[in-house]
Amino acid sequence: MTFDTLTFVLFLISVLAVVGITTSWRVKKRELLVASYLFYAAWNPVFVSLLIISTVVDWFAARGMARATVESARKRWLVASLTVNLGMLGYFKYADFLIDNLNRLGLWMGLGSRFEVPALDLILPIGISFYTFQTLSYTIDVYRRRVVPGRDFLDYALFVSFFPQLVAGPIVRYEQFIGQLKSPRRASSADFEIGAALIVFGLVLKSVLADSLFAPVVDAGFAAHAETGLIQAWTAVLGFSGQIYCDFAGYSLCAIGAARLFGFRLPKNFHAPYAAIGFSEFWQRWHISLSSWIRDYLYIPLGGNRSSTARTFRNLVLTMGLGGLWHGAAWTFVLWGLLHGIYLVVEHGLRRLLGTVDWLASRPMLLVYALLTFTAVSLAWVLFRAEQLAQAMDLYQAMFGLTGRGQLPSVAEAMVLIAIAFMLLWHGLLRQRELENIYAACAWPLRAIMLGLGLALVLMSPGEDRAFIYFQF
Amino acid sequence: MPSSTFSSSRLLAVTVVAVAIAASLMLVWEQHWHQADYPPMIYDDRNLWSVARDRAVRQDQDRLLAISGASRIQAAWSPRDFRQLQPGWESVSVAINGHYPMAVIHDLAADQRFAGLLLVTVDARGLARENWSASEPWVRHYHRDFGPQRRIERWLATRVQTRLVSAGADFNLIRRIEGWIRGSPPHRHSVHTLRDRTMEADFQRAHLPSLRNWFVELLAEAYREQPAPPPDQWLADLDALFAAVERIRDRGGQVVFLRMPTSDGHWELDQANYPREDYWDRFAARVPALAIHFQDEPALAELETPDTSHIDFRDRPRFTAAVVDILRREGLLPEPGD
Repeated sequence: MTFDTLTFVLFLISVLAVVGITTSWRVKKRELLVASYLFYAAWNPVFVSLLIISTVVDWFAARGMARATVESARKRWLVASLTVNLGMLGYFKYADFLIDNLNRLGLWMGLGSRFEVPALDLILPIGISFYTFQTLSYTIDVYRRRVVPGRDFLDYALFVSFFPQLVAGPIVRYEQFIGQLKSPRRASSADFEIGAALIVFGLVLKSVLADSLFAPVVDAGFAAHAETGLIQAWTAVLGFSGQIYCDFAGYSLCAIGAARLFGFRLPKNFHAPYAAIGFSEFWQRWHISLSSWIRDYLYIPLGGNRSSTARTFRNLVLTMGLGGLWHGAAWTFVLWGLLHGIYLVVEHGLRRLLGTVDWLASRPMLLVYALLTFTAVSLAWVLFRAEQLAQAMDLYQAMFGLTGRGQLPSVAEAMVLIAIAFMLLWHGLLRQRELENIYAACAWPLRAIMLGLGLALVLMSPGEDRAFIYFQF
Repeated sequence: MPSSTFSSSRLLAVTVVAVAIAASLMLVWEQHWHQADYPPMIYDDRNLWSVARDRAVRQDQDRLLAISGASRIQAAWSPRDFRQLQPGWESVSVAINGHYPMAVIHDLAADQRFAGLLLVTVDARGLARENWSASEPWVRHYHRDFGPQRRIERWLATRVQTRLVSAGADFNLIRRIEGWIRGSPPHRHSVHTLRDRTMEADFQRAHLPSLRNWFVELLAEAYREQPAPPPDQWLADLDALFAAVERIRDRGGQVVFLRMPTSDGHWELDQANYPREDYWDRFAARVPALAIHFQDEPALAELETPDTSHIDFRDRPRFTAAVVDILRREGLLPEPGD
């Protein structure tokens, strides 16, 4: 189920009503668990089985680790958890990618099409990348003795499947959530109003900006990659920077807001990423729950920055490349990740230089760095959005002026460019502030006006059925 | 944050004022378009198609007529008239506006549940290999993405779209701001989609000369970009289609191919690129199913196509009755009372 639908509105109201009239905390949690499974089944009931398998396997793996008296037994349980979870993820998400690459290799080696393996053409279960990482963080943390396994299976099942964050995050850690299940939670007036406001703001980002403003220009620009010019290529790419932020940050706000309506707090996932000064900071502000997951469960285990500079650089590039692959089974995603890895390596190198020259660390230069970071991030988005490498190369050529200036921006393109300028300004203002705090600081009539206008904007933005971009990951 | 900022009374006040503002703005927006004489209308999409595709296998297969093709049959066929002419029978439109039906035929052939009567409206160009995958995205959507939520959402969307002008994508605020700057108001459609996915084309509301020119120019460009393959190759490519027809027939279903009426410049271009005797007639001789050409049926040939390829909604009953008569004559539909 997606947040930008009438179905979700009815679903949310129904669940709020049922949970609201229930007095027992234990029963409330069971109701939320059932609602979460209904939420997932609403897309394709068959794939609920995968969610159950992942939940059950990791529950028993964690208990097995806790019971084990020798290290080798603990490791076996961890390997079992990793095998089942990454096996399912690998099969559904990467099998066809692997087959395609094997076939290409076969052709390249001159084996001919007789050895071609047919693609499986599997349906990618929605949210599998998210809940797999969420449950894996639990078993890995139990293995590392960072958390103690839970005693209530249904509480654990709710941690895995809690519907606001189930299909596209934020990826929640066990210790962030399980404490909230221990004692009864009741949404206060503040929770309720802020939760509703976050949902409305999230929907404005998704329906008004991502889908209505940015997506048509981006789609047209990327579709015309072969004959596009400098202006159109930059507009399409900057538009995609706006679209992907509004799409995913919008989803995250809705998720956090929906959880808040039930009194739960989910970690924030975005914080003005386009105001980041440098790439390390960008990843502390963009998809925060994933980048911290990758840092804790991939980068640090690989050695992080604890050994030589060369090894640190290798770890950065490798981690980001794998992070790219997590986003999608295509070389364009891997290259996108690797490019971000290279950005981080370059930043590490430059940081030493900045420390030696005073004016390079001056305040006005920070604005220059922020703009450079945004530009470089936007250049990388080309790989993320392109369906094929050739499409990305066409756009890069156009962006570097190799195919001519192009036409003056159309009205729709001009609107996109203006919106991007406002978005950068908005991110600059939000750099040190939290959206929630800004909202809470407003007088109630102003809050009502903002909510009313936001709601009206969402209702005035009907359009095509566009899934959230991150649903495909 | 200070506790005085939020309280249950403040929450109520914020909610009431916010809802009042949103409702007032929506009301003004809706009224504006109503007064500008824009009617509410249903917007077809892959979910609505999937609902119809699902019905095609859930109805009583002994009394089901599935209609496939593109906009021509959507504009010409009237399910309501069909129900009156053939009591107890239902027709389901799995036609897709602007998209040839080959992928839909293969999909229904692969679905063991489908054993009804399938009317395929297509021309020789639509059978050419280049157009086979035109309707594939709809088929994939049905099999991969269409679940309970999308079904409910489409049900709700249909109800909202039939009541509110502003529920249509044409009235999206961003599109309208763009339109206002460019000086282009929302398009006034002369074609309306109905709940059953057929369409009513009211050519009295359309500017026919420009519409006719537009269609003919579009077709001429399509033929320039995609010239017809040699007839032998074109026919040889259709073996898989013949096998699909056989599969439907093997489980008790029937398939009928119908070449829909076109006229004037449209027909001339069709004839120039895919001469009937080299393509359609050879196809009709080989396909293991009835193949009807509109020129061979006076009741179809005499129907007007004001824009060169679509029938006005006032002629829907005539068209439907003509097709029903042909199908009865060929023994594919029973006479009423049989």
